[in-house]
This record gives sequence, C-alpha cells and structure tokens, in this order.
Amino acid sequence: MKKKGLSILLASAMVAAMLTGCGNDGGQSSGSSEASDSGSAADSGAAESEASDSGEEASDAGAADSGEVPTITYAHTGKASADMEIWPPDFVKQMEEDLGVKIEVIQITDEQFDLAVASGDATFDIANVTKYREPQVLNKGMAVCLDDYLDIAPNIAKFEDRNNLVREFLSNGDGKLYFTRCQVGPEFPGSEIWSGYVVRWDWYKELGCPPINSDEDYLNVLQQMVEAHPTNDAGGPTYGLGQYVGTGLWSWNVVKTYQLGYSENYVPGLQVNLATGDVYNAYTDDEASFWQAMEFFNKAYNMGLCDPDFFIMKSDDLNTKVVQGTYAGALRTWDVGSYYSQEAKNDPETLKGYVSVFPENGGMSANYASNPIAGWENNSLFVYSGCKNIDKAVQVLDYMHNEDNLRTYYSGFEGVHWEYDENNVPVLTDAGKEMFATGGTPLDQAGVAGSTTGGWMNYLCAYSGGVMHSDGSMLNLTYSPEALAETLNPMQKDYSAHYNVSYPAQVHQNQVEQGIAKDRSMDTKDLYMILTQVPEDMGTKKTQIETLLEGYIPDLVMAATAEEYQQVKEQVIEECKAMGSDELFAWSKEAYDNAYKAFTDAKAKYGIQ
Amino acid sequence: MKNAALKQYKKKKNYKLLLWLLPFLVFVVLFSYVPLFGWSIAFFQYTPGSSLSAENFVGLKYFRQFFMDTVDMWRVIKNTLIFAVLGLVTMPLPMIFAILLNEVPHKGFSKFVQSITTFPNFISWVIVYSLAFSLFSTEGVINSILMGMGIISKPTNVLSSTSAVYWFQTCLGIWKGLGWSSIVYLAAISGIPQELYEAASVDGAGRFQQMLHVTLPGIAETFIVLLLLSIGNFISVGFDQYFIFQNPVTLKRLEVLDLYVYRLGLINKSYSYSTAIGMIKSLISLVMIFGTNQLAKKIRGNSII
Repeated sequence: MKKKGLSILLASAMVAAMLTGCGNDGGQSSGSSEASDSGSAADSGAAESEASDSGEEASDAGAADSGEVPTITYAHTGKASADMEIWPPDFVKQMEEDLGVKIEVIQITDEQFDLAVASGDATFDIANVTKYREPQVLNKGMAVCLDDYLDIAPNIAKFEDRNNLVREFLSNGDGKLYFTRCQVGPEFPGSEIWSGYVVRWDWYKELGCPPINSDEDYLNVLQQMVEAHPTNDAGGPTYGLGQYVGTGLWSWNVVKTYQLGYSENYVPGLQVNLATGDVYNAYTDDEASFWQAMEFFNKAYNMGLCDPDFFIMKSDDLNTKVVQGTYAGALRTWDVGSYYSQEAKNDPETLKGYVSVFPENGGMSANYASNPIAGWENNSLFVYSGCKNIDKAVQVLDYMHNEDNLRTYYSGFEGVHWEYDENNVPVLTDAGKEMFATGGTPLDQAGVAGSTTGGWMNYLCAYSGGVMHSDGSMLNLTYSPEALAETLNPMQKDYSAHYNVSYPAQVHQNQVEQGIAKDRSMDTKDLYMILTQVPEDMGTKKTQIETLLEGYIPDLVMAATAEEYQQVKEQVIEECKAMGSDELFAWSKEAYDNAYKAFTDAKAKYGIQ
Repeated sequence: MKNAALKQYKKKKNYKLLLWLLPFLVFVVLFSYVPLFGWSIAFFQYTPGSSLSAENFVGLKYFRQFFMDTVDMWRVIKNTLIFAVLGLVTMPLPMIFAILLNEVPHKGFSKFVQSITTFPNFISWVIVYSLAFSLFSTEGVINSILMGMGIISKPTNVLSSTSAVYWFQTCLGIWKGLGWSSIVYLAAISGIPQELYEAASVDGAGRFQQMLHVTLPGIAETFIVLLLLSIGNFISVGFDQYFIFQNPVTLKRLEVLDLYVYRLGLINKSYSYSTAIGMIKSLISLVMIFGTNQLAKKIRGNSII
C-alpha cells in the first residue's frame, strides 16, 4: 500500500513538474493590470496576460514594499552588443542613479521577437522593433499607450512632429502614441565617408594621387597599385578588390546605391533617385544599382582585379586577407579598417590604411545628411504592456529624450570629457579628445557613444548627434570641425592636408556646398513607417527574384566579353520578368506613391516643415 | 479462488507499472502532439501576434502554392533528392568502416582511429567551413601543395565550382559523420556471439569470409533499421551545411528544401507557407517510412513497425 501510494505520488509529481515547466513563466508579464489600466493597444491582449499572470502580483508587490530597485530590461534587435564585462558603465550607472532603476540589456533576433509576439509573452520591458513588426505588436496589445504617461515623460512630449507622425501611421488607426523612434535629426558623416572610391592611401600617394573621376579611372589606379605591389605583407599575391558573401544582394549593391544617391529599399523592387525623384525597377532597369554594380564588377574582374575567392569569402575570411595587406582598394572603408588598426600598433605614424577618394568634378553621392523627422527607419521603441513597472520604463525612454543626457551620451561627462570655455561654448577637454580618439577601455568604462558597452544605446537616443543643443552646439561635440581635426589619426591628417580640408569627410561636404555632389538630405526615410506591410505574395516574388539575381552574379561578373555580359543580362532580366518583377514593381510604385502622398498630407496636417 | 486472487494481484501490479509510463506519455503528448495544433496556421494567412480567428482562412492555398511553384520548387526538390540519394548511396560506408575497424588487431590503434573519426561530428559547420576555406581556397593548403609540386599550374577552387557541389558536399558530410555513424555498428558487432566466429574458423573461413558470413549478417538488422529511419527522413537532408556553404556560385545547387523553407518562411515571414511545406514533408516521410517497412517485410519476412 505504501509502495502504491509512493508510486502515485511520484508519478503525479513528475506530471505536475512537466506541466509547471511548460506553463507560462510570467516573470516579465506580471503587473499586467497596470498594462490594461494604461490603455494598451488591444485590451484583449492585456486581459489575457492579466489572467495568466495574476499569480505573480503578490510577489511583485512584495518586491515593491521591500524597496527593491526595479530592473528595466531593454531588448534590442540591433547589431550592436553590450560588453557585459564592464557593466554597468558610467553612463548607465548615472541613468540608474537618476531614475532609481537597474538597467539590463539583452539582444534578441527578429525571429526571437516574432516568437515573443506570437506568444504574447516577453522577457523585456522595453524593446525596439524592426520595420513591418509594429502592427503585430499593436494587434497583440504588447505596447503601452505612451500618451497616458506624457505627464511623467515631458521630454518625449517635446517631440511633437515625430509623435504626430507616429500617431498617424503607427497606431493601427486609433491615433495614439505607442512607439518612440530614435535618431531624429540630421545624420552627420563623422570624420570620414565610407562609400567613395576606397584606396590604400600609402600606395595611392606613391602614384601621386591621380584624380579618380570614374569607375574606369578607379580600376586603372587599382591596377597600377597592384602592379607596383604584387605581394602582400605575408608574401601572397595582392588584388584590387575583395568581397564577402552571405548578405544576399546587399554587399554587391550597397556601394553603388550610395554612390548614385538612390534610396535603399523603401519598398521591394523599387529604387528612387533621391536627387531627381526618378523611380527605377531595382531588378530590370539599367539605372538600378544592381546593374550598375554588375558592370563595375565585370570590368574589375576582366582587369584581373578581383580576388579569385571573390564569391566564397565570408567576412572573417576577407578580414584575414585584409590584415595581410592584400588589397589595393575596397568596396567600403569598414571592410578594411582593421588593416590600419593593426599597422598603427607597430607604427603610430603609419599611412598604411584606406581612405575614400571622390571625383574631383563631383557627381558622386555619399551616405550622410539624411534628416528623418521620425527617426531611424528600422527601429520603433515601445514599452511592453506586461512590464512590472511601466512608469520607470517610460522614464528610461524619456531619459534618452533629454538633450542634456544625450549630450552626455554623445560627448561624455561635463567637467571630465567636455566643458564650457570662456565664451560659454562647450568644447571637448583633452581627456575627452583622448578618449574618443583612442577608444578602448576608457571609452567602454564611460559607456558613451562609440563604446562597446554603450553603442547599443544609439537605438534609444531620440536625437541624432548632429542636432543642436539649446546651448547652440551640436549634441555630439566630436562632430565639430575643430574636434574632428584634433581626433584624426596620422593617415587621416595626411589625407586632409593633401586635400586641404580639416577632416576627410569635408572633401565631399565641400562638393555638396559647391552644388557638384549630393548628400542624402533628400532621403525621405520617414516613408518607411508608412510602408509597413508588404503583401506575402509580393514578398515571395522579391525573395525569389533576389535569389535568382544572386545566383547569376558570378555569370555576370565573370562574363569575358561585353557580348557575353549582355547575353547573360538579357537572360536574367527575362527570367526576372517571368518571376513577376513587373508586377512587383507596379505594386511597389503604387505603394510608394501612396505613401509619399500620405506623408505629404500628414506633414501638411500637422504643420511639419 | 487462489488463481483469481493472483490474477487480480498481477492486474494491479500492471496498472502500477502503467502508471510509471504516465509522465513519459504526457511528455510525448505535450511536446510531440500538442504542437501539431500549430499546423492549423498552414490554412490561414498568419502573421505573428494575431489570433487565428482574426486571420483570413485560405484553405489549401499554400499547399497549392508549393506544387504550382514551377520557378523554384523543382530545382529545390531536385537538389534535395540528389543529396538524399547520395546520402542513401553512401549509407553503407559507416557500416563498412565499422567492420574494417573491428578487424584491426591492435585495439589501441583501433580506438585511436575511432576517436579521430568521431571527433569531426562535434565540430560545427561554421568551423568546418573555415577549415574548408583554409584547405581549398585559391591560396589554401591544397592549392599551395599541388602548385608547389607542379601538379597544377593554376589554383583550383572546389568551393566555387558548380560541377563539384554535389560530391564535395557529400564528401564533407561523410568526413563529418563517418566515425559517429559507425558507433552503432560497432555496438552491433560487439553483440555477435564469439562462438559464431570460432565455428566459422573451424569450418575453414578466413577473415574476409568471417566478415562476409558472420559479421555482415549479424549487423544487417541494424543496417535495415537505420535505413528505414533514414528513408523516413529522406527529404530532410539538413540545413546548416548548405546554409554555411552556399555562395553565389553554388546557390542554385545548394538550395535544398529546408533552406528554401528558411528563406521563404523565416526571412520572408511566410510562416503559413513554411508550415504547409513542413506538413507535406511529414506526410511524405510517413508514406516513405511505411512503404519501406512494407517492402522490408516482403523481402525479409518481418517488419520493424
């Protein structure tokens, strides 16, 4: 009898343990009564979590009574990662002290986020959601209505234009504010631009810095450099260009997209020339960046400038060759930045590194100066309706809307990294210049912009660093021409001296001022939040066409003659059309036109300039 | 009377034993059957976050889409079948390896070989790619050696060769899984009574004949079971390997069904479509596993299921 009882008890315990294990954790979603009170988007969703999590209420209340500091967990889907070895860094510590909270940061993939949305149960308090996912968040009632909290979030309330656009387009029609968006304001290029004709500076100087006014000029310069330096630092062969794969069409397209001044994927299959407003079919029109890029790569390949491993290298493989000094040029400066860093360790005055050169007669666009009213296109921040302490979570968001806090984030701590001079103008101190120029542990300890510990907070910063503080200087003091000039490395200084500018990016900025080149100030990134949903069939067409194009890249690049190239091109375009590229373009064009009109109407409605 | 009491006692005891089964039964139901309700999204135009009642019911739309997709599907199916068939063709290799390993007289050497051939199984495909790049890229070890010895004048690049895709990937799969897959055969071989070898030896059988007439029949049952299971997974050729090794050159030949589902289902967020493909895969697997079982029954006289 005893045995029987024990058996039943053990079996029951095992079953119970399993069922409990499978049950709703609820750890993060308790306190959902607050959520429903606060007017989350869909009452049903909040009610569900309220029902499932009621058991947690008592323990939460207990925690509150005991005076425990609440923890606010921020989940970001961006690529920046927080270095947990130095945690919390000084900026986060300051925020924690100011708000009386503990901050945790976790990184989640889009797929993990989708799972959280599907289950309606999340492990975060604040999250940033990538584009197209806002309606899902709203449908599931996962976002707190921020309008109900604006009295404790005065800084968020100040962003009227952004908030009105978000209310208009990201509220599922109820006109309430559920999301904030980051990096409102002009995008500053920093000290250098990555998207010009990238050359190895010391080799380019050896050639006498010949002007590069076209793709042909560029390839000829690369060829001369390779001929002059046939072996790399490790004794292997040198090449003109390297490439990495694994990002679909992106790594092939992106440079031409920015050099030509095109939009980057407002809608699938459509590209807009930002300067002229002309619209192209991204897959079949000659003007599209894909075809412009293919022509460029084909020429480069036939001149023998492409690394033979062009089609198989992952980014790590490319980097291995980069640090051996294998390449005369590059597609993007960031692909080859590790070479200078490595060389500078051995010789701090080295000129061995890569820079962007621009056509002397202008005509090349570059990637900066977009000025979104509603912030970065791919990030909407919300407070999770299941958050235990919504007030504090909203205050965390609000904290990163405050111009003084943002000055600290972008420029470091007042009195340490910057101070007001005798004219009451904020300037970087020597310690600040040193920290931003050399990076490393001091920057990570500060946890401000550019650090591994605080880089992720870019996604929380409501203003971009190029926005003016009320003291009349930019939030990011490292952006001032004086600061930029003082934080350049020897190679950048040499480049700047050669072109008679204060810092490398100024070469292009001057061309924009002269009206011979374009930046991206015409980029209406705000359209992204209107173009939130791509119908499934159109998405499928896009995926299929892009896979087809990617598969044809080797044939196009390696086509030995112009005739062969043309033949492959015609075949590819024919297959694209058979896959429905024209239908996709027709849909995209209509979606783009409608979005543009809706955006223009909304600007008029809210009096936004 | 006594018999009845005994029967009653046994019955009670059996119930008690059955009770021990309960947790595992619950486990199977929870993790294998309950998730099957998720199949319902294949019949709706589903987006994460919405309840199915709020979504459009589309019936068999996604199943039709699978069969009507003449653009990609046949290429994907062809690739999948090629890898699946190559997998089946090379399936006896671990068995042969195990038999040969069993014949190695020096046990220390045998263990050493077994360890080093098993080790690759624990290396992730990402690492395997790095190794393959170091070995087979234009400036890799193999090209350096061959060019150094004057065997080739121009470097070859098997990683970006369309003609080498199928056999190269199959070889990589064999290299990675050979030792691991042979473990089960080695276990089966160790279960063959030693007397059979002694009797065969007395009858004048040499080592090769012992292998052929004792070892092979002794592990045939194991091979059939594994064959049956692998046929059940015939069209699930995997994902990681093909995902890691795909590049613009090999893309058209490396896109297998699982990769296709990932691309359209997860990247394009067509969860309903990928669920429909998953259901079709399960159905095909079921048909194949029962079909093979019947075939095995007809040929061998007994079945496994």
